[in-house]
Amino acid sequence: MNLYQIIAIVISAIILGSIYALIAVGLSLCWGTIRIFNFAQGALLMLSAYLTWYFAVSLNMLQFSYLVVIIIICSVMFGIGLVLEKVLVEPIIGRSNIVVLAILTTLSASIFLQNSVLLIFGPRSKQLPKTIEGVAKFGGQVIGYHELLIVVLTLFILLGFRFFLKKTKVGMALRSVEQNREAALLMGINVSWVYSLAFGISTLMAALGGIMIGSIYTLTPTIGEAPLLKAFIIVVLGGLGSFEGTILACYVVAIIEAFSTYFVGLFWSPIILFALMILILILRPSGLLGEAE
Amino acid sequence: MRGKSIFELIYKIRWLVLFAILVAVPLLISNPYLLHLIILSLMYSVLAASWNLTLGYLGVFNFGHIAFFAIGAYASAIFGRTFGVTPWLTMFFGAGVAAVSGVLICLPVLRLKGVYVALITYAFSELGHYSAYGLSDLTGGSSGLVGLSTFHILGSTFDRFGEVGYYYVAACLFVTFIPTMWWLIKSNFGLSIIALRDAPNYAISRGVSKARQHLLIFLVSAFIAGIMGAFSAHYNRVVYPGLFGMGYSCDVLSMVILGGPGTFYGPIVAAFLLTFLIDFMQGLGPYRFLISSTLIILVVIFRPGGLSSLLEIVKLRKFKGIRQEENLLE
Repeated sequence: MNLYQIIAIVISAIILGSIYALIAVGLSLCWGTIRIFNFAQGALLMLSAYLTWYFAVSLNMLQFSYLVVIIIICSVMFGIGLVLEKVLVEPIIGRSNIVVLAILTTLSASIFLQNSVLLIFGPRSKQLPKTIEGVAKFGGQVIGYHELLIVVLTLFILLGFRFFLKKTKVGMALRSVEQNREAALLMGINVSWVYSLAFGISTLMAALGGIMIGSIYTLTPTIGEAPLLKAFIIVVLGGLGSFEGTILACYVVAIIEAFSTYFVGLFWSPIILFALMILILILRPSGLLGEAE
Repeated sequence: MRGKSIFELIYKIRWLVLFAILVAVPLLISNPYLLHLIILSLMYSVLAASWNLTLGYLGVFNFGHIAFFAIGAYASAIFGRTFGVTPWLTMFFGAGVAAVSGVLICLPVLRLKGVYVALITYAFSELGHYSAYGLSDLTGGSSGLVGLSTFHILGSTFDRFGEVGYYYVAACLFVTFIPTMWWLIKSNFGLSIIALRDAPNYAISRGVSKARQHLLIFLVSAFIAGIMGAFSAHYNRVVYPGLFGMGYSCDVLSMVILGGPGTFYGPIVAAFLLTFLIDFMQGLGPYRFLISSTLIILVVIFRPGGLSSLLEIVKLRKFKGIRQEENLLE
């Protein structure tokens, strides 16, 4: 165990944490505004990776630019998110046990999407091409430009999202519904529209995560399951609905995962993370940055 | 009202009628596959009913119930393999371990509210899931434990009688636990549980101990789930990490939700219907999941009361003796 190994583990953790950040922010946004957990987030991530593969490789749209593909995928997935919200969430809003029902509907949707993808694209695993080939070398470490781009891009997406939430009118509408639904309604904010938007944005985040994960790992219909599990741990660790806490928790979870995988083995890192999640829920349910109870 | 009084008579001796039907089934049905499905239905109906105790009657968002089932299966399998004990005994060991884990998970649940309960029970279930992979010396890792010992009676194994022997074990478990749960729900204890769900502050002020009732109901429901898990382990003669899995959990959860949580017969009837429906769709490959997931979404959206709201249509509830039960989904 030397410094180089530690740095290598930390770098891989930061790449992993970036992808987790996107899906966890979406999950956290859905919880904050609609007060539901979106169990379909992992399947949406998988769907976007497959759609990207379809556009980029099957339709060979890479000849234009990767950017064109990404823009198409983002708009398609945002639309899918809006439709899914109307189908899965809107009918159950206002029922007393919406949390259970939402888990059931989104989980069913996730099973539906997984099996649809299996039927359409077949079980053969696929891989997305990298955005930029080549590697950067510094201090004895080798890191691909593609991975570097993922980390930087995530940072910009998160900062942009934060700006959107804090400074724009639409973002303020989202936050006002999060803070007080009734008051927002009285101020003339269309709450049902805000719900659709929140679900759409969280789908968009999953879509971006899907494009990133699909260019690092091989695609299978179950590729979204592991990131979704991690995202649950992250939103608990960061405190439900807290943006800064969620971002911090992404990297904490990724670092714990990378080190525990290295030191105690692949199967033990989820055990350690879930034990941590239970501990946090018992000792500090409001999360790392939240107020202690 | 002659017709009604006959129904009332049947209703009064319903446990006897049920018992007679259960005894007669293997004499009437010789097809081993059909019998296998009935065994599964009996198993799932008890499992769904035990989940209903916490999810429906106690009103706790418990998502980890399937973990008690899997823990019972694993504990019984490991105990039986290590010490070479007959499944008749290891079943109770498995149930005991499940009951202890039920009490352990109930302790943090007592402190938490709403969605945090859902999260911690979910985390607990996933913790079990990955421990089944991680503790591979004990659990056999991802391939699980195969070739588990089976039930014996008078020195000969149950396999000699085909499915009939297992059927009677499942039927025995069914007639033990379903009436037990019925009695539990209709007793003062059951009333206090429902009171804690519907008017927690009033119930507590009238002297109902929240901690005690929660612990007891988790103990009972985990014990029953554990014993069903142990039965499933020795019936299928295999345990594997997928027992903790989300797919399995979703199947049983849909039995509870579609049957109507907080109603007694709903989940039991739904367990029978869904077991046969799932098996019927088995030949459809991935289309099976497309159909079942669409079905779940449609029922949740359009029939919020589940099966019990269908029962309401045929006015079954008008019978004397069936208490008007408030449905959680409405």
